Amino acid sequence: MRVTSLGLHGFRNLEPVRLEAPARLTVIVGENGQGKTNLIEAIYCLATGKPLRGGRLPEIVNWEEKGCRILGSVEEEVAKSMEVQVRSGRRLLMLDSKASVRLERYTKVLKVVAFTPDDLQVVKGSAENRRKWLDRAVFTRNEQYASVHRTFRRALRSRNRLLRKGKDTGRVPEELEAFDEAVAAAGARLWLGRIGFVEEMARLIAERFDTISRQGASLEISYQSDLLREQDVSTAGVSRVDLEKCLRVGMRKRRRSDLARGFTTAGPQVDDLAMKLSGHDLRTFGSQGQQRAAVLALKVAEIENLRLRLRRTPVLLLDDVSSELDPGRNAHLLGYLAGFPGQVWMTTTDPQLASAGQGPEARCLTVEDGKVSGEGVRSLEISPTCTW
Amino acid sequence: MPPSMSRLVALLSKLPGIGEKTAHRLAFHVLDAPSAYALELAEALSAVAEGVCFCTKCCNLTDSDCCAVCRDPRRDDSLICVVESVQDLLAIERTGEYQGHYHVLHGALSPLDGIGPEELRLETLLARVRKGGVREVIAATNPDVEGEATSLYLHRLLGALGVTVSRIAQGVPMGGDIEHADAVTLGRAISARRPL
Ligand SMILES: Nc1ncnc2c1ncn2[C@@H]1O[C@H](COP(=O)(O)OP(=O)(O)OP(=O)(O)O)[C@@H](O)[C@H]1O
Ligand SMILES: [Mg+2]
Ligand SMILES: [Zn+2]
Repeated sequence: MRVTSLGLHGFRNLEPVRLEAPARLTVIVGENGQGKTNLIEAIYCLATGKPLRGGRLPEIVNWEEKGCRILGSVEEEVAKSMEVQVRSGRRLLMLDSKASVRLERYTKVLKVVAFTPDDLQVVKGSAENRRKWLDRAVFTRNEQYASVHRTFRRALRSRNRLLRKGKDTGRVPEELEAFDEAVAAAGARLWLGRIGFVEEMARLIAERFDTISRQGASLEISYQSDLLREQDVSTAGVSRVDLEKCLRVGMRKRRRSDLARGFTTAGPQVDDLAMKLSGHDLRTFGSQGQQRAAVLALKVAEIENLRLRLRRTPVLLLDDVSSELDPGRNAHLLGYLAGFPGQVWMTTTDPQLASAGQGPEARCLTVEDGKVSGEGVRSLEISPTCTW
Repeated sequence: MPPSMSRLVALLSKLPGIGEKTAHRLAFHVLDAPSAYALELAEALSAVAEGVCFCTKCCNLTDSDCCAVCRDPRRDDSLICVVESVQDLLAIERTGEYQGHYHVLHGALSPLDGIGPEELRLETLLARVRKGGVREVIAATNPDVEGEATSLYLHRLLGALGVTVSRIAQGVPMGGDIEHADAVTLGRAISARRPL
């Protein structure tokens, strides 16, 4: 899978541009604050319809513009054209010039895995970072997971609203039980997606970590949930019905404390991904180098899992990763990239790394104050305004 | 523009899906048409405002005390199909498959929109079931968070009165294929399978 052309208008600080020539490796160089990450984000956005950094979608539109367009051609078995338009807070997704494609359908076409300095937070940061990584990775593998996630969030917010009302009025809302069921039904599906994914990934991550760190320490990951633990529900081969029951029972047991606090205290929304290095918590006891090796292992395993499951090689987007890794991990990453059969886009401020863009099938692009230059850079020939 | 025209435009643009531009077009269309049309339209609007009300039994729309469905003696009195809206009732009527009665809730339980049991037309439904003669209540609310919760709520509320509460089935649409059905729908179609 390759992005064979990319067109941008009104995207962040980047000047309108069209990029041709489907190099396997594109190295994007430039000083700080010039627009390197923005260029990577454009591809991420083309693939997923979402911004790369947390944030809200309208933030990708250039401050001086009303709307933005990202166009791309993707080469798979058949070539496809994709486009994302954002205007007045609304998003339009187009496939082969057909407008208003559903996100689930749209995101099937181009699979990307992004690796940014923020990803270190998956290991170092709070549980929320790990849940986010998990949910995004599950979604990349299976687009249907998006609607599961949406339904769960809505059910949970509804239940929380009732708990809040119960707390404020001192009366248990009559319909609370009905929303317990809604949360249990959606939560079980969410659990199933996460648990299945962690199970698939555990071995891959352990293997990768082993080759990256070469210290003989073993990395173990597992899905961590208070509810599953207190009810002795084993994640291996667990069914949706069992998960639903576990969540329902857990909420019933906590009803009084939930009502006292005004929100749902247990469930998938507070779970975590445990990472243990030879039995000890990686976040607390791991060295910097071990933590970095773990993030790299996580990412590479995610990519390999996608290749295995979808039988397609995702496009890799690496943003300034070299600055976060030490020389040893960097060497490993570059070695992995050299043998990687798919397309890679990476940014760096390090002129030394830019030399990676000199080889065959590689190119180097420079970004200066939003202006992209280098091989395959053309002027954009589309109407700058959104088409709706 | 004369104030009467601006007022018409302003009122029209309150309608769903009608922007200011379309409202202008509609207003000028009414103006250009023979004046009989405008008067007839005005009359139809006030007839709806004054004459249409909710059926005292099932809360369907009617212009008398009782709606056409409730008045129909061939309908099965022991079956009540609960729907969220009149549009849903009409959709089920169009299938021609259903011969029982209805009850329109005019909404679904939705904590996020501040809609609780008191906001729904549940009193009259409870009264109908308590009166006896109802064998089964079919929960035909939407398959979303609110609709599912509403059907579970009905189940608890009415199940206590000894009637059977059933939920409409969900499955693979006719004319669609299994390969392209979404996973949740397909999953439910499998769990709700029936013997042949
Ligand atoms: N919506 C927007 N409109 C205009 N400019 C924007 C917008 N969003 C971000 N920018 C600007 O884009 C510039 C480049 O950002 P970017 O993150 O791509 O830099 P970078 O080249 O990756 O730098 P670094 O090496 O420091 O990571 C920033 O100065 C930022 O203020
Ligand atoms: Mg950057
Ligand atoms: Zn009626």
